[in-house]
Amino acid sequence: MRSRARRKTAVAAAAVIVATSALAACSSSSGGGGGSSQSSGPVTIDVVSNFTSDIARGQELNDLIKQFNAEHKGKITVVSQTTADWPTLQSKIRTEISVGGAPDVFLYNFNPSDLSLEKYGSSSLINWTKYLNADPSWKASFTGQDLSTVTYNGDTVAIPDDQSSALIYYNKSLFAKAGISTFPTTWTQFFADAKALQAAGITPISLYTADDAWYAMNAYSYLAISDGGTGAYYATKLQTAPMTEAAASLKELFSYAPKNAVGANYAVASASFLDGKSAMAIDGPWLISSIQQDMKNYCTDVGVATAPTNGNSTEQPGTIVTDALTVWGAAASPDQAEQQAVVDWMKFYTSPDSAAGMATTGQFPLVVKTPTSGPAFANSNCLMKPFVDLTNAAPAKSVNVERYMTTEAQAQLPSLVEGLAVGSISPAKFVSELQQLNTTAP
Amino acid sequence: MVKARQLVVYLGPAVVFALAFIVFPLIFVIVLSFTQWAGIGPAKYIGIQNYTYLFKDPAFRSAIYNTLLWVAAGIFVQTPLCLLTALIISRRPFMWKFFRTALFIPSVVSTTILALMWYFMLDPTVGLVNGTLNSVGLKSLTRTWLSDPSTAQWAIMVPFVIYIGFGMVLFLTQISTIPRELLEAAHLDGANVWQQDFFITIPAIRRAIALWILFLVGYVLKMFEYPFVMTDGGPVNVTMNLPLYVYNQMVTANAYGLAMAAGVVTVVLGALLMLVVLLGLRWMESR
Amino acid sequence: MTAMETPAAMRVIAKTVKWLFLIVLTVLTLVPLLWLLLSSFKTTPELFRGPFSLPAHWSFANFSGALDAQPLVDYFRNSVVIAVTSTAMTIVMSTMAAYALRHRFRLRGAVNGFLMSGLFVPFTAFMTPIFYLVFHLGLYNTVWGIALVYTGTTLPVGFLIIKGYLETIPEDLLEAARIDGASFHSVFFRIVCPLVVPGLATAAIFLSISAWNELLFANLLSTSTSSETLQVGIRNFLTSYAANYPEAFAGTVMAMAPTILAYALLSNRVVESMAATGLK
Repeated sequence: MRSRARRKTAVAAAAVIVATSALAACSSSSGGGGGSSQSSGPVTIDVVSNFTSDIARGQELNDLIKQFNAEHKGKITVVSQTTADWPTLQSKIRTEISVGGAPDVFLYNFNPSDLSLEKYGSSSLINWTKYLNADPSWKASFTGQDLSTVTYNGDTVAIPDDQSSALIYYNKSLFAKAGISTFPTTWTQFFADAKALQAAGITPISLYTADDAWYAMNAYSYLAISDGGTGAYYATKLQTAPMTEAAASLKELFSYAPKNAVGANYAVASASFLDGKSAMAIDGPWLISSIQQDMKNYCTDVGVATAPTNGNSTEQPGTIVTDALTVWGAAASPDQAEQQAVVDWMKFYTSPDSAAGMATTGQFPLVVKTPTSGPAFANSNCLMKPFVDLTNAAPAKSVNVERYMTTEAQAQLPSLVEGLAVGSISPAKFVSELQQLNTTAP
Repeated sequence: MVKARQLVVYLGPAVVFALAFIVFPLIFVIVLSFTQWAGIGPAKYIGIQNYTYLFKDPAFRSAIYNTLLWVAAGIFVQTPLCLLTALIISRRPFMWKFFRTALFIPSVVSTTILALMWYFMLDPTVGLVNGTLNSVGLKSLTRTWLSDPSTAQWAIMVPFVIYIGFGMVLFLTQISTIPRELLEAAHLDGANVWQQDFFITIPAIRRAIALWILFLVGYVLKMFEYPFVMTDGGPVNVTMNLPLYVYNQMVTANAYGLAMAAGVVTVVLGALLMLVVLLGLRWMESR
Repeated sequence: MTAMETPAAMRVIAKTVKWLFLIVLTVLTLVPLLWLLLSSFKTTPELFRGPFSLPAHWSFANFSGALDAQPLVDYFRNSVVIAVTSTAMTIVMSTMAAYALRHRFRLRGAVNGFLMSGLFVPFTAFMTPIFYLVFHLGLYNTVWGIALVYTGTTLPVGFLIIKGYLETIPEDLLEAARIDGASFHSVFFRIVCPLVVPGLATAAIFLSISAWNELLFANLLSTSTSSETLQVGIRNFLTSYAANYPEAFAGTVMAMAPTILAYALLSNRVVESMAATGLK
C-alpha cells in the first residue's frame, strides 16, 4: 500500500516535470517574440503594430503582407501581430526589448523628449544606415527632414512610417440644420457657429480626455498656433502666453462638447461624430475608414477643413497640426538571412506601389514620397482626396503639442485636461503644471 | 513525525512557485523602487526620491484615499449585503434557487465587461440610470455620473458593492455546515429568525466572514479595471487607485522606478490592513 | 421577545423588507445584463437613440460581425485551457502543502506565513519580472505561460481557502489512521482528500473565475490568437478604432453565455456537494 501510493506520487510528479519541459522545449523552438528560426525553413518575421484588421490600413497591410509572402514563398513569411490599444502595444514592445526579445519589426512614436528607446535599444535594434546608403533610390524616397529625425548619434535607428495630419471633419448636414453654410475661417466665427449649433440641439464638437486626449489636444494645438504661431510651443517650452490663452479657449471649447466628454475615450468620442451626434471631430486620416463604414452619404454630408485662425498674421491659414512621426524599429539579428529578410520587407513596404496602396485603399498616407499621378489615385475617395490636398498645400506644419511631451507629462495629461475642463484648475495653472512635468525630463 | 523527503515532495512545488512568482518579483520591485528606469537601458540609483515624489503627488494621495475608501465600503457595505443575502437565502424562501443563481451570475462575468456595461449604464445620455430617472420624473437627480468629480467616486463603486454573488456563495456554504439541531433548539427556545441568525449563524460562520474580508482587501489592492475602463482614474484623479497608478506610471509614463515604489507602498499598505483586520477580529472574538 | 411575542405587524414588515431587499438586489443585478443583451441586437444609431428603445429588426448581424471582428472561439478555448490548467495546478499544490503543514516541523510557521504573505502582493508592479521569467522559460505567447503565471499568482488565495478546510479535520481521525498503519501518503489520499472536497470545490470556483477574469497579464503575455484570452478580445472591442458598440455587446454576450450556462448547470451540483460532505 505504501509503496504503491508513493510510486503514484512519483509518477505523477515525473509526468508533470516531463510534460512541462517538453512543452517549454517545443514552445521555445517554435519561437516566441524573437523569431528564432530553423535554418532550413522559411524565415518568419513578426510585424508588430496597431494596424488592426477592422480598419482600412490594417486590411491594406494584410494585403501587402500576402503579396510579399507570395513573392518570397518558402523563404520569408511575414506575420502581422496587432494590438489595438496603443499604450499597451508600446509597453509590450518596451518590455520585450528590455528582456532581450525585441520584436522583429515594430511601430512606435518618435519623441524627442523620450529617446530612451533610441539610446538604450540601439544595441539590439537594426542600424539602417548602411542599408540606406547601399540603396540610394530607397534613401531618396524619404525626405531629408524625416531621416534626420530618426538619426541618433549619426545612426539611422528607424524607418519613418507616417506623420498623419489632424484635420477637422465636419458634418455638413448638421451645419446646415444650424444655418451654417461654410466652415468658419476665424475662431470668433467658429465659436459663434458652435453657439448656433448648440442652440439647434446639436453638439458642436467631439472631445475626450482619457488616454491621450487626442481630439482635445489637437484643438489645443491649433488654438495655440493661432495665438502664437508655430513657435508657440515645442517639447519642453510650454509655459508661454499663447499656451495660456489657448488653454482658456480650450476650456470654453469643452462647454461645446458632449456631456460625457470628461472621462470618455477615443471610441466614445469618435462614435459621437460617426453617429451624427457631434458636428465636428479633429482627427487623422484613419477616421475616414470608419466614416465610410458608419455614415451614409458621407461624400455629401462630411467635409474636411483646416482649423480657423485669428485672422491676423501670426498664423498662415492652412497651417496644420500633425501627429508625431511614427517609425518602424527592428530587432537586430545575428542571423544574416533574417536581418536581410527584415530589410527586404521594409523596402517592399515603403516602395512607391505599396505606399500608393496604403494611401488609397488603406486610407493612410505614409511619409514615403508617393507619386499621386498613378491610376490608384484616380479613384481616391471623396474624403481622402481633400485630406491629402490640404496636407500637401499646408504652408506650415506643427506636431501636436502632446506628442513631444515627456512621458510623465503624457501620463498626467488626462487629469490636467479634465481639471481644466471642469474648472478645478485655471488655464495658467494648467500650463505651469505642464511646464513643470516637462522640465523633469531625464 | 514527518520525514524531510515527504516535506520536500509536498511543500516543494508550492514553495518554488511562491519563490518564483512572489519573492523574486518582490525583490526586483523593491530594488528598482530606488532607481529611475525607463523600462529599457540602465537603471539609475536615486535613493528615496521616488518615495518622496509619491507622497507629494496628489494623484497618489487620491489613490491611497480611494483604496482605503473601497476597503471600508467592502467591509461595511458589501460584506453586510453578502451576509444578509446569504442569511435570507439560507432559509430557502420561495424561488431561492433562482435568486442564488441570478445573484451569482455577475461573478462569472469578467470585470472588464461589467465595467464596460456600467460605463454605459451611467452614461448621461444613453445610460439606463439617467433614462430611468427621467422616465419616472426625477430628472433633477440625473447627473453626468462619470464626468463629474463629485459623483464619479461613488458611481464607480456601484458594481463593486452590489455584486455580492461570491461572498453570498461563500457564506451559504458555510451556513450549510451548521447543524440543523442548533437552530431548531433555539427556535424551540423561542428565538425568532433574526435572533437565531444573530446569535448562532453569524458567530458560526465568522471564519468565513474573516476570510471574505481578507479577500476583499486583496481584491481592492489588485483591481484596476473599474477605474481604468470607466473613468481612466479621473476626472482629475478622483477615482485613481493604487493598481491603476502603478499601471499608468509603468505603461504610459515609463517611470518604472516610480511604479515599483508605488507597488512597495501597496504591499506595505496591504500588510497593515491585514494586520488591522486580523487584530479587529481577534478583539471581537475575545469579547 | 419570543416568537410568540413578536407582533404580527412586525413580522409582516420584516417579511416585506426581506422580499423588497431580495427583489431590488436581483433587479439591480439582472437589469444591466438584460440591457446588454437587448443592445446587442440594436444598430449603433438605435443604441444612441435612448436607453429604452427597441431594435427595429431583431437580427443576429452583430453576433456574426463580432465573430468576424475577433476570433472569439479561439479566445474562448484559450481562456478555458488556461483556467482549467492553472486551477488544477494550484489546487494540487495547495492541498499538498496544507497537508504537510499540519505536521509539526521546524520551519512550519515560517512556511505557513510565507505562503500566505502573497495575498496582497501588487501583481501590477510585477509585470516586468514576470515577463522576464516567462520569456526566458520560452513560454511567451503560449497558454501554458499564462497558466503558469496564474498558478503562481493565485497560489496564496488557493492555499488560504484549502488550508481553512483542511484544518477542520480533527487530528484524531488522522491519528487513528496512522495507528492503523497508514503511511504519510495514504493518509493524504484516503482520508484528507475526500474530506476536503468542499474546500477544493470552493477554491476551484474562486480560482477558475479569477483566471477567467484576469486581463493585465493575459494582455502582456500573449500577442497572437494562439494565446490571447477572451478578456483580451473583449478589451480589443473597447479601444479599437472602429467603435461599433452593439457588436462589442454581442461579443460580450457570446463570451458570457457559456459561463453562465455552465454555472447554472453546475451550481446545484457544486453547492450540494459542498453541503453534503460538509463536516458534521
